[in-house]
Amino acid sequence: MKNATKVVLGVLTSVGGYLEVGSMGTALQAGAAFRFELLWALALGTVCIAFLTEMTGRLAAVNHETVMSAVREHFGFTFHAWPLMAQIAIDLLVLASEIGGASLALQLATGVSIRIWAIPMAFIVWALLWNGTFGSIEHGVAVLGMVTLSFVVAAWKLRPDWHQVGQGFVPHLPAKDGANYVYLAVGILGATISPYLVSFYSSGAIEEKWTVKDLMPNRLSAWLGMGFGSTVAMGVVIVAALTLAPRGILAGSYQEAAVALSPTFGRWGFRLFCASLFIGCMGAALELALDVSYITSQSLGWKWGEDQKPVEEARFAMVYTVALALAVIPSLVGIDPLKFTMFSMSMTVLALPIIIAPLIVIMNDKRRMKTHANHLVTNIAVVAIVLLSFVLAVIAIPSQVFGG
Amino acid sequence: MAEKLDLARDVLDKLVVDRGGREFGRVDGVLLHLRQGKPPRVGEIEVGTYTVLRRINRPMGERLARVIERLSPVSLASAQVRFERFDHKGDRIVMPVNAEQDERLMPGEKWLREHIVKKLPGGNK
Repeated sequence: MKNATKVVLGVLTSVGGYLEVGSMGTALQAGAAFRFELLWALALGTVCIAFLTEMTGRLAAVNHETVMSAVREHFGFTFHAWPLMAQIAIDLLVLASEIGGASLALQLATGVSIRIWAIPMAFIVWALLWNGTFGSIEHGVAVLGMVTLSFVVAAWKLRPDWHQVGQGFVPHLPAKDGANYVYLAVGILGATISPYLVSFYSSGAIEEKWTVKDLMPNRLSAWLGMGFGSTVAMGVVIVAALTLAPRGILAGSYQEAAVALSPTFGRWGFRLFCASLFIGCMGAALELALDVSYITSQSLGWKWGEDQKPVEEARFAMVYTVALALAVIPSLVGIDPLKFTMFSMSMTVLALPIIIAPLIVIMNDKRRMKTHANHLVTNIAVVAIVLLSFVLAVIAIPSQVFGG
Repeated sequence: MAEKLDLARDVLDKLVVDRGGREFGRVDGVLLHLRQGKPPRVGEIEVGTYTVLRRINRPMGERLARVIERLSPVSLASAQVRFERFDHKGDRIVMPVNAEQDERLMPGEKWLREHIVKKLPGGNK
């Protein structure tokens, strides 16, 4: 019963927290430009992130350590510095995109400029982290994030041709605009295989004091959570394909895409779009800011944990404070949040190999993993994911130049 | 037979806690004492930013440390803790010190706590 509750909570958290600025932006553009043709990228990314989160959750449950700690201890700081710096840079870029996305949702709803909203938005995130606990943040994000299910409801009510939708899960080359297709596929994979999800998941497992008894809930939460969560992003693709594509709207900005839910929900469509964007981005901003503190503290051996008071771990609290202060800059200088998001997704893909590759060694270290080291299937999966991340990293810049 | 310890595998980069279990850093460096006519002896472990920066790339790390030192209100000099008495608790190294009372340890944490965190609303709870 206890395990079932854990799994349900884990799945709800993944569903409620799945949609954020990257997954929403890439899904809207993919649906608007290529209808259902890029659903395979979303499915592939979901399988990859489910494997990765299951592995890092297992590491936390078995050896009570996070990925970042394990990488530093196994490879030493001279190597560890590179994935650490790459992930901090990526986290900051995506955090800035989330602050921009949430501020833009407020601009759409109120008409007041994103530049005015950026600082209050970052302050709200900071105040929640400063005063909140891990559980309150995790569950709050999950409950409020249910609003994003409006995309799933809309996708269902729009009655898509399910045969065509099914065909989208088979990878194929497009009839036209190949460069943009590759660019969006890279963006979707970058948004789905997000490194912060991996480190945040393992840090959360330590915060919740997982043990080997949690291995089964971990497996179910990772697979069911990511699986059900991805249906929300697939809902966005389908909605964009059926409401934006027929009108020639390419979702080049969130302002353009904000009408996506209107055919289904009427007046409420616009409000639900803004609420989904705002809550999705705010939830992800909370997780990203925390993640910067998590990975820095774990790497340098500082005391860490969102359940501790700021006075007990000043460095941990100051890292997310500084991260949020830096993350408002792109919005303040007026960079378009969607363009910045797409750029961040490309950079994420570029940094993926160096962040993910050490997992092959860590998850096969018998001293660390005891009898729970990777088996054949998980090893094939992690090697395939690392190879995929190398391929994506190689095409990230050309796809940004030619397709972005 | 005396227990052998692999310095690179079992000591370097491991989490260090004080006797109360307070995490105060990682083993960023290990100092060996070279003795005339005798084998070298492990003298101290180093915990601190300066050592970490130097490990990435010595000249670059030293330059960066000097720049940060100029801007930082607290010293970046790494703390050296004698390695004569210590304990192993799982993957952690327990040193017989009190990190809160030992002035060499966690200077950044203590400075931030007193000068910033306690002054912010809710920080002193």
